Amino acid sequence: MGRPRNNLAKGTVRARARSGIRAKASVLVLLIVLPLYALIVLNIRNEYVQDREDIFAEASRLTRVVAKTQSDLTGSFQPLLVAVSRLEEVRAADGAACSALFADLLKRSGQYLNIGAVTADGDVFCSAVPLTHPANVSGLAWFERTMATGRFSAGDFEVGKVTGVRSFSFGYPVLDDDGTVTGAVYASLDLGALEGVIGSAGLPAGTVVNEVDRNGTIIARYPAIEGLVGKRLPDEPVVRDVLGPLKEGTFTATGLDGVARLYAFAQVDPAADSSPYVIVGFDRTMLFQQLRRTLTFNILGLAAVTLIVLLMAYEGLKEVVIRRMEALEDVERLRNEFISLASHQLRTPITSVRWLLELLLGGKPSPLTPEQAELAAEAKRSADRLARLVKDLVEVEKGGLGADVATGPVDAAAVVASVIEGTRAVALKKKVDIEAALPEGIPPIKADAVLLREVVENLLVNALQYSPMHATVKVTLALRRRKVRLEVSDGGIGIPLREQRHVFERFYRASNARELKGEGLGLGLHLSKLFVERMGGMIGFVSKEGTGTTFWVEFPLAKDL
Amino acid sequence: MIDKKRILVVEDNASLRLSLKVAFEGTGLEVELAESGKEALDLAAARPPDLVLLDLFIPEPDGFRVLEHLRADGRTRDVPVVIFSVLSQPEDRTKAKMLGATDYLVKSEMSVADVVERVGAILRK
Repeated sequence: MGRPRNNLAKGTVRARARSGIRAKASVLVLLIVLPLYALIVLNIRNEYVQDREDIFAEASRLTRVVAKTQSDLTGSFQPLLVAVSRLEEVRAADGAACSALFADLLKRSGQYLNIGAVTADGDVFCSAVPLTHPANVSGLAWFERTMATGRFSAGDFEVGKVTGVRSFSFGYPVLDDDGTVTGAVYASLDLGALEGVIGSAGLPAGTVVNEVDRNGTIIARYPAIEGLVGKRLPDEPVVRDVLGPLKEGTFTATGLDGVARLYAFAQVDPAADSSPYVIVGFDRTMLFQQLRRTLTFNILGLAAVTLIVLLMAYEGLKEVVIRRMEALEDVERLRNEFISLASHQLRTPITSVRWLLELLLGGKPSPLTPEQAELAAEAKRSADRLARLVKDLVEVEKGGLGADVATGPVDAAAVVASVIEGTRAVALKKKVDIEAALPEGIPPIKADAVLLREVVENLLVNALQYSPMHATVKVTLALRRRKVRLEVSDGGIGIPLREQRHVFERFYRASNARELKGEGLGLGLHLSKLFVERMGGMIGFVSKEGTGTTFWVEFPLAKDL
Repeated sequence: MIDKKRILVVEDNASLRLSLKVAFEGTGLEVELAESGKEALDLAAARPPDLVLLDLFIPEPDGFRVLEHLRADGRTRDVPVVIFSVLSQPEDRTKAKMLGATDYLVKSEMSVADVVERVGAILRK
């Protein structure tokens, strides 16, 4: 047995539902996940920043440790020099006695390269290491600084005037009783000694230490590299920063050997004027390895969590969506089945009832008695009504899309007049007077004649139904602002105010209407609205309960389109 | 007045069959009835009618197939076939036309008198 197909756009309902649900669910997931995300990312970032700061702090700390190894070394210089500067032998500039004393000191301490004393002009008159030739220290940084500041001062990289060895010296002024500077005492350090103690700082592998004087000349290097000591650092901004007013700090740069390093610098001896600096370079890769590892771990963790959350959300979504889809499919299937049922199954028997009655009323196979005819007529009216109801129901189920609409220029006045004629019988029964004002010369409207007829009939029948006996129903047609406006007014029961917005909903019947007339599906106005809008028109009403209702319909003129 | 022509009514609903039989015989036509596509084809092959009134939704084979067969068979190729349906689907109309139907009537929207009138008009041609 063939089954009727239906015209519904099957995919439409599903597609619309699909996009609606998907969109809402996506927004929901985003709303939940985003703040969480933001929190996590912020946390990771903070952790990273903190770790970085920790690394820098550690670098600085180690640098200070290195500096301390140096200052430990040179720490003894100041008290020594202060002490010897007060010696009589020194103040008296007794070269021989002084030298013997210094030589003895040198032997005992072991860390000094030389200890000596000079006049205000820089001539060396006293030296622990025996003078082989006269020596003058003017020009040497430690001497110039000591004489200029009158304080314990560090020198620069030098080649010792007496020892002839690359060394580093500290100086201290010799004062007479009046406090005038009469000369200076100095002590020199073998640069090798500097390098030697750096190793004790416990630096991580790959760390490089450069100790520089105030001019930027390298006085010590660890690990030792041939030929580097005595060279000046390039005149670069970072170097200038180091040698500037700051006592300590950090910076990142690529070293001369091409390795990216984190550098920290510190003064060796903050007490000394023009103290040398240690610049410690840490292998960045190694240093940040742990940091990177932590960061990577965090990011991977986040990615994993994200994946899990998304998966869960997706699964949840699928559940919601699938369930919804299935429900919709069920609804659609029921709807299709209903339409099929109503369309086919109901209509066939209804048609046969109508036809059989029609034949009987037509005297076939043989004429009826008047009484029989009356009954048959009544039966036919019911059957016709049933047919209409089924038709309306199917129409509504199809959303008004079932009927073929053939719009063209339609003479509205003619249609209205015809409908009024058709309802005369009903009007007569209720003794309701239909007043029609259908002026001549109204231009054709763009509409479908059949649908228009249905609409007008619906409005008129409603007006008649809900009018009291002996009432008047006015039907007017007019041209208003390039639109044709039909008005059907009655003095009937009206529509209660708070129910007015439901009037065009399908199956809706106002409470007072239901009271008056029990039967009725409440489809008429809904269908009328569907039809009118399909034809490009508009429909509306004004109503007051107990007074009456005016329904209006407006159509555009055919020639305007 | 219509000549005593014979029409074959193919309709599976008993009430409708009765209505149509009474209606057409009332206009002087001879009416042959078939309940299924198979019965229709057998009757048509045995004695080709002057017109076939063919319901679409009948037991095997369905209305369209019957139409195809009627058009394929030399004996019935030129017999007018009026398709009959409760529904008014555009695709059905199109298909009917393509398969060579003479007309398409929608039962639920017509009175029996209209049906008789339309069939009569075709027979007169």
